[in-house]
Amino acid sequence: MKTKLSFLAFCLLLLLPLYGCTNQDTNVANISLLGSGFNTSINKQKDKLILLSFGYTHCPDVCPTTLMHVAQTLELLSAEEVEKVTPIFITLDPERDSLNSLAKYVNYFHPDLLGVSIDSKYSAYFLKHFQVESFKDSNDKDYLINHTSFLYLVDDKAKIVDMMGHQTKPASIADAIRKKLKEKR
Amino acid sequence: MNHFVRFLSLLTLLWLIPSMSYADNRLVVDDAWVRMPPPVAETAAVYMTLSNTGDKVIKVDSVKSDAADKVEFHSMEMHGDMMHMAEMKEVLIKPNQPLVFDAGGNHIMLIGLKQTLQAGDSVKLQIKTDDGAIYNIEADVRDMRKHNHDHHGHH
Repeated sequence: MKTKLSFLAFCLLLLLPLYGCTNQDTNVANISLLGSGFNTSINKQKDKLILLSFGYTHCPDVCPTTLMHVAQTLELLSAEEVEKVTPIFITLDPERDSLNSLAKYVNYFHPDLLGVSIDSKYSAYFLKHFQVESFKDSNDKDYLINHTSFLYLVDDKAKIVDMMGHQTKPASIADAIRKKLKEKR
Repeated sequence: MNHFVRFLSLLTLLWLIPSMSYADNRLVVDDAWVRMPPPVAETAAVYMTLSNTGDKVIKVDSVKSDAADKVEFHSMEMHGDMMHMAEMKEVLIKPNQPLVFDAGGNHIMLIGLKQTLQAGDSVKLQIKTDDGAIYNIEADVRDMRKHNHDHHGHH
């Protein structure tokens, strides 16, 4: 009896790392993304394709360009296609970007855009999953942030299904979205 | 006749002086515009092309604007996957090599906007160069959301 129990325990121990793996992927999808008057997460975008970008509101050129491309992409999609896409912009500057200013910032580009801040307890982990790197250029109050500037297509389990440079033209982004939506069917 | 010749010589000299000054360094500013920032933004990007029509390098000493607390020149470079923005410590415009500040590349940053910028507004900047020249520039604010539309996919 003891041998059987030990053997069972041993088997369970072997399985433990696997549990850890799936738990980590699920964790990224579970992590709270805080918006102005709402709280969401990747897994709350059930069956949707997330069009994800990272940046900050003090960004003069790259972020406005990226969000402009996101907005133009949404305009190129059909009503049916847009229903299946959630565009999300995540701030890399929670110190200065309040949820309210994030909401106003993204609304300037498109009413469907969600501006959010990652739950600070998990932000490093979340950013690592998307291979996002960012760092301040100085300790002045007017610091700028240098950051990777990819656009991601992500499923509701936080799996990255496509990745594009921020200068990708809206028509190409729309094509990539349509391709992924077709694959899901 | 002598007086007349002298008078003509003087006139010729006076006529030549302005044309001689064209050989001095002159900065020409083309297509200065500002990307209209979202209402909460505290920074904005200004773009323009600076050309040097002279034969000596021009160095920018300072740049300022009534529209912001601080103005800086920034370069943009891809380092691997990272878009790296850095303040240009030295801004030099070489003869026949225009210095371009354009979307996606170098830009002039307005930091600490003093007012909300609307499309159609005019932002004034002043550039001072090492030869003592002062250039007053007017850059028009453009709403880029209305630009670069390939076609309308309205539903």
